[in-house]
Amino acid sequence: MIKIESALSKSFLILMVLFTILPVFAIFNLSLQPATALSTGISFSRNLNFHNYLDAWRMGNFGQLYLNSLGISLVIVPIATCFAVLGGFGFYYFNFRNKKYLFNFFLLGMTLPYEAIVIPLYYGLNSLGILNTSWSVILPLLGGFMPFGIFWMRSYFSSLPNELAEAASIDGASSFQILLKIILPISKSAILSLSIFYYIWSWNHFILSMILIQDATRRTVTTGLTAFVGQYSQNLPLLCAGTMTVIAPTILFFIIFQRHTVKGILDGAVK
Amino acid sequence: MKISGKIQGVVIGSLLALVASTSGAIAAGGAPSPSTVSKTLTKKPITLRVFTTAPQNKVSEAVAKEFEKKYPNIKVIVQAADFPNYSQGIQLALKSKNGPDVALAANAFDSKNGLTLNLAKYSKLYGWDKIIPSTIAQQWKVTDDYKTMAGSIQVALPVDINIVGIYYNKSLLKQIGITTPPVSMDDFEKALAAAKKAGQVPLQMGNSQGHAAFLIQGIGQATDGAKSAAKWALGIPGSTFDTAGNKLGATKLLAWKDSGYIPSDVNSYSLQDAVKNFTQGQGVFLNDGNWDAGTIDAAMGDNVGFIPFPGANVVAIGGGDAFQIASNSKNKDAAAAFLDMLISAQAAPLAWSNGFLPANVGTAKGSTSLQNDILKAYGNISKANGIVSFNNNVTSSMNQTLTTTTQALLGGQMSVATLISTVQADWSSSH
Amino acid sequence: MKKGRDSGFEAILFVIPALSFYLLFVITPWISAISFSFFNWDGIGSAVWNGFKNYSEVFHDPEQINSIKHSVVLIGFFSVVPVTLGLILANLISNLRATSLIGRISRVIIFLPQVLPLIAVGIAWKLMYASQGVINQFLRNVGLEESTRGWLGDFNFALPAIGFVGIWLGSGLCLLLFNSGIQKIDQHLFEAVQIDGGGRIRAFISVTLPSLRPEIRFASTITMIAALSGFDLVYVMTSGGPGGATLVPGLEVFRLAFAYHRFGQACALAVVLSLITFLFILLVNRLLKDI
Repeated sequence: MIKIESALSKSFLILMVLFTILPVFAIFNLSLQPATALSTGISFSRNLNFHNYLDAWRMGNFGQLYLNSLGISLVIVPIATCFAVLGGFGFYYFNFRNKKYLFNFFLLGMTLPYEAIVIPLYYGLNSLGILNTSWSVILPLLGGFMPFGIFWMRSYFSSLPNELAEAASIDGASSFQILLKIILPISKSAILSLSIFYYIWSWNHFILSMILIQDATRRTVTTGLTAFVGQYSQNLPLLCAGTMTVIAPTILFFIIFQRHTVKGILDGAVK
Repeated sequence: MKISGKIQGVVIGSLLALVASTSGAIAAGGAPSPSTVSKTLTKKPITLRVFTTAPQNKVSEAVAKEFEKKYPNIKVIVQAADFPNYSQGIQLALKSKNGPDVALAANAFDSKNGLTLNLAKYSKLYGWDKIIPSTIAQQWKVTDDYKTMAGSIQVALPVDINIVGIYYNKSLLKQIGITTPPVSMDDFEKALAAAKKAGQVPLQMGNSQGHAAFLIQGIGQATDGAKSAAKWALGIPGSTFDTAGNKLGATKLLAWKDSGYIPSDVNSYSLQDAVKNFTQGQGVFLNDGNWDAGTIDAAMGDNVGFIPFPGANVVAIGGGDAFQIASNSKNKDAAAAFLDMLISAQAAPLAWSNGFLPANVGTAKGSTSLQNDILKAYGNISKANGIVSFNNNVTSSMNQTLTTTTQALLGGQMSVATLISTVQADWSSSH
Repeated sequence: MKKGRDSGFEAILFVIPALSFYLLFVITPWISAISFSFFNWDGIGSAVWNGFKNYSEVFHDPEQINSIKHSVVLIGFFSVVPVTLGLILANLISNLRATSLIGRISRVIIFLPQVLPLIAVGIAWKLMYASQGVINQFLRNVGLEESTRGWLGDFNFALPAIGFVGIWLGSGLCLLLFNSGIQKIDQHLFEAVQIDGGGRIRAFISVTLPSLRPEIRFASTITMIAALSGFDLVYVMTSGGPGGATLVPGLEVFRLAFAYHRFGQACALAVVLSLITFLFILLVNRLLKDI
């Protein structure tokens, strides 16, 4: 009975895995077919047209797209993580009037869709003169990432034993010293998880860059891919190669950091 | 309380910003004229940014190279997007830093916002009206209220001519037993029926972006005649979409899908997919414009021909890629010189080799059989004064309206009558 | 001034960086959207006061109200189904060891959809739904040729097709969340049910479900937010077509603003969208508090 159950369980799991990987496999498979391919279904042939990847890279200017996206993510991740740690600590460590009110004010932001604010952002950022530059995406994302970050860090800090902070405080340490010397060293995992989320979310972001950045040389991987797909819509294997080019680094990054990402969200979710 | 005080400040601040931004709005009085115009360009190193759509960018890029040779101090950067993405983003781009100097015009009436120039002075300086056929040029000249075409404010310069007709696969046509391409609507329907019987895809078409509207317009104006169809398409008050021709067009579109002349899943793929299918032998006929001639020519060579839309009147939907100069461009004269080169005799072969019919038609000579077909068709149509501008351009939302209504019609969700009245309602809201 | 942990002043210092960016780039634009929503504005010229008419239009214009209806439908696909599926599957595989190699590899793959850019997901699924795509290929191979169709161009199936992508997106996350939650449940609780004579279903209802409440709440919230924004997917898969059958509020806001040049109306719909999102999240969290 146990054996059958175990076999059944394993098959469900494998089914789930296959179902999940199907679309990615389909794209990969199509990317290796000749440009004249009419069918978008899965087919296997002897010829593997790897040149599609070279063509896509060149024609879609993916190198530039990577640099742009990287530029945005590398600015956002350290700053956002830093602010989230500071803010999360502020909510965790201190008791002040209206703390709950302010915290809920932050949580409100997690439910706010970017579509709701993109139009005023457009006009506001234009008057600041930074429209059409990476900053027009960096600044709003920094703001938008705060609610989750504060929530995440505060939850984590709350799970730490209270005595640590108390003891240091009695010893006369300032709040900042407590954060730096006591709390941070034992929070590395949670902070790393948060940074990874921020990296993935800033990399994957679409609507802000689509509306706020019109210059093709400044497009991100997501908006660049969309433009590439629109422009070369006749050559399906080519645009599949482009799509794979965009998601492959993300998959690689995720596999390397999967322990912190998956475990992070699974543990953090219950707090 | 601290928080509500902040909120109050923010509300007041944003209301002030709203008032400020709306009152200090860019000359909402329409397209400004440049104060001075000159053919002499600066000798300083400058960059000219050109925003356009694919596949027109191939022509722009070729011309850009020639331009850079002529003016070594000027660097030309050409940027392209596909049309739906382009038209949604171009107004934003014109307002922003690093926006274009030269931009493909998505719609003649958008110039009301003052973001692009009135080109009349440049036109006079360079003599553009002598080169561009008037039926094409007038589509980019609007009246003072920016609601009707064929006015006096020139908002863009057409650089090539698009006509929409019917491509046909010569070998497949022979296979289904037809010797000459159809001229009348009757001939066309007989050919479609024969193709269906022979197991071919009669009419290749893709409507995920609303291109079935070409069929309605094609049948509509072939029935009603160019003169009356053009009035509506130019936005001239007093005209209506509710005509015998358009009703017939919408009815036939639905009927042909139900009879299997048009693929049943036409709503799920785009015109580009249809072109691809056609070049691979799936489709005897294709209702499309000459902007795809380059691709189709390369794939099919002598096996493809082009004819005007069959019908009682020799007409075609015709327009062109037209370019505008941004009002806040720092290099207006250079931009104008670039436009001039785009329509020069020197650039005409560059357009042709990429499959585009140059606006400077007089100097165009076809080098493939398809190109000659297109030239011949154009010649016949313009002799008969049969050019009608795209219905899609008559208001800034008409493209979306036509997309939604044709998709609904073909999906069995909307009647012909409702389609006609919805389209007319959109038109009436601006005219 | 209060000192130590009661120092409100010090607390604010820590929170100021996050708060200022949040206020400047999220709250301020949102309040601007609210103020824009009371005007008729084409984005360029002057704005004309329109009172609450824009809001009235949100609920009367078929295009706009339908977009909201579609969003609610998508909640079913993006949230309800994955959570349910996740619960069932997590229960089914609860006896597998999470630390085995298969377990570890499966975990990585199953979480993948949450990590991919939605645009790429949309492109992949759009190709799968094409007339010659994988879905129809599969149907043909199992003898269901008559069921094949151009899924994204079909009035009845386009929205469910997008919904199905939502199931693909959310099920993995839910499965992993619930599985990890189940592993943490004290075995004695299950034994107690067994002693009482209860079967698997009893165990599920009285032990598993209540213990998973925080996970269910988290999963529901996350997937619901995904359902209600849905811009990226719909934009790249159907642009709201055919004929508006897959329009969602996010896309309609975009269209109202940049295709129809009606910025005031777009903002009104955007505000309604944010309120609806907020309400649904509140509802879910209230409901699940008492399970």
